[in-house]
Amino acid sequence: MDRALAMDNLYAGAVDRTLTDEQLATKARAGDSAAMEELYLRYRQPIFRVVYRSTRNIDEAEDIVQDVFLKAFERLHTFREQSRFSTWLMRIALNLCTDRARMRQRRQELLEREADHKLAWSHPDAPDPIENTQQNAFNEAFYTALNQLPEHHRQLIILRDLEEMEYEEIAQILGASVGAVKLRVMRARRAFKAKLEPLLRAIGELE
Amino acid sequence: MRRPCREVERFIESGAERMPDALQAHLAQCARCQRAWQLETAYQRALQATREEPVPACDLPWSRVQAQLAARAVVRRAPIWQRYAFAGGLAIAMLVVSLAWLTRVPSPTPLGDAQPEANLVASAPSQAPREEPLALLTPEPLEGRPPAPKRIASTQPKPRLTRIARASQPAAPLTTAAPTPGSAQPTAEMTLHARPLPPAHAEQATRRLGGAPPIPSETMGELAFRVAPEAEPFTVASLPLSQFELYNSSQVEYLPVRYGTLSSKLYHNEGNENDAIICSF
Repeated sequence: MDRALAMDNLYAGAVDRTLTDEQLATKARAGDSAAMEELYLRYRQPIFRVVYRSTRNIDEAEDIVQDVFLKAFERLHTFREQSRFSTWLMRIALNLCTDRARMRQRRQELLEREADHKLAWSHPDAPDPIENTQQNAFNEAFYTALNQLPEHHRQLIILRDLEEMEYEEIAQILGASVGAVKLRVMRARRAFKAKLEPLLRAIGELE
Repeated sequence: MRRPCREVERFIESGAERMPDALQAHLAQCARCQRAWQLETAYQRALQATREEPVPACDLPWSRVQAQLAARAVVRRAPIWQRYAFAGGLAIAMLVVSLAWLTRVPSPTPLGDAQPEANLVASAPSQAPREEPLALLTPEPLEGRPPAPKRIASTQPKPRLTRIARASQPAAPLTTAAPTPGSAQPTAEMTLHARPLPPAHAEQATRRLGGAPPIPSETMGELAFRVAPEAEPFTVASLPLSQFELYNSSQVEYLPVRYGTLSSKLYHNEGNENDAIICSF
């Protein structure tokens, strides 16, 4: 891991790092590989953080990150610079997360149907009973409840409550008004708390 | 829900940190609001714990993404001749298929609007050639046949026989099935290709009819095939469409004739474009 990062940092010297995202995007659109690399290095980890919060699987999160950048660089000509590059990138990431979540759900349903619902215990979102010690029970309860939410609610909880993004930024990412985002976040929290409450009671965090 | 409870709920949803004293006083008395407040504080603790959980660093090197980009670019930049070749091949294949289809299936011969049967009766009988009895054009299969629009492919190589047209013989007068001249019953015409009936088939036909002589065409009940004044080998027959519950000639399509069943030994298929069967559609 460290070696890959070190190599990336070593080779990412061919472009002026003071350039803004939009300037780099313009260069990348013209086929400048160094500009693409700089954009990748800037946003690899922030995108990975959000995606990992959503998937909780490093390999899957890395796959999604790769797809995000492939898609972004292939469609740079559609980036209109009306929003920030990071916002545009995050929108692609969320869309890909939604697609993956749908695929995962469909695959799981198919497996369960094939096994006549005997595979319910092997649901990847279910907490591992061995690892479910008191120490991380809190986190596990949180993510278990989070994974029970529909994808659009889950993304809002991640963006607003975990990543602590501003409402304005979330509104830009989702292409909605700030008011609409506030309302959606409120609904997402309500749904989330309804899922979280019994889990917190089960681990003794609530009376 | 009482007003203070609603205010507590609003306060919780707003995410504000310090609760006003009035609401705190209400919270001490209301069990429902206490539960909501406890859930909120637990939620905040869970959030805090999850935020502090370290997220692993992304181990995906730029070289991998770059290689994928290059691979995709190669795929995208397929030579232009390949695209044209594909489109051209597709067009040629479609052309060949349509040509094969057009040449394989003969278009049904339109005989024009059906005329009233009375007209045919008036013009046909005197000079129409008369032939041997219609041993195989018995109405049995036709009566049981639903008027479903089934196109029968004329794949049989050799059409076999129905009747023999002999121009030298005078046509017998058609009497029994002739409608009254005033009735405008719609009919359809069909042209039958006449071929001699092989002796073996003639014998089978006779046996099938119980040894009785073949039914003459004018005694076939309502299915009266009328011989038109055509020279050999063609004859024209008219068929009352009311048999098939058709009262309008525009509901009629002409298709190759097939009668008998595959299981019967008297199966005949007139795969000739001069032959026709009447179907509704």
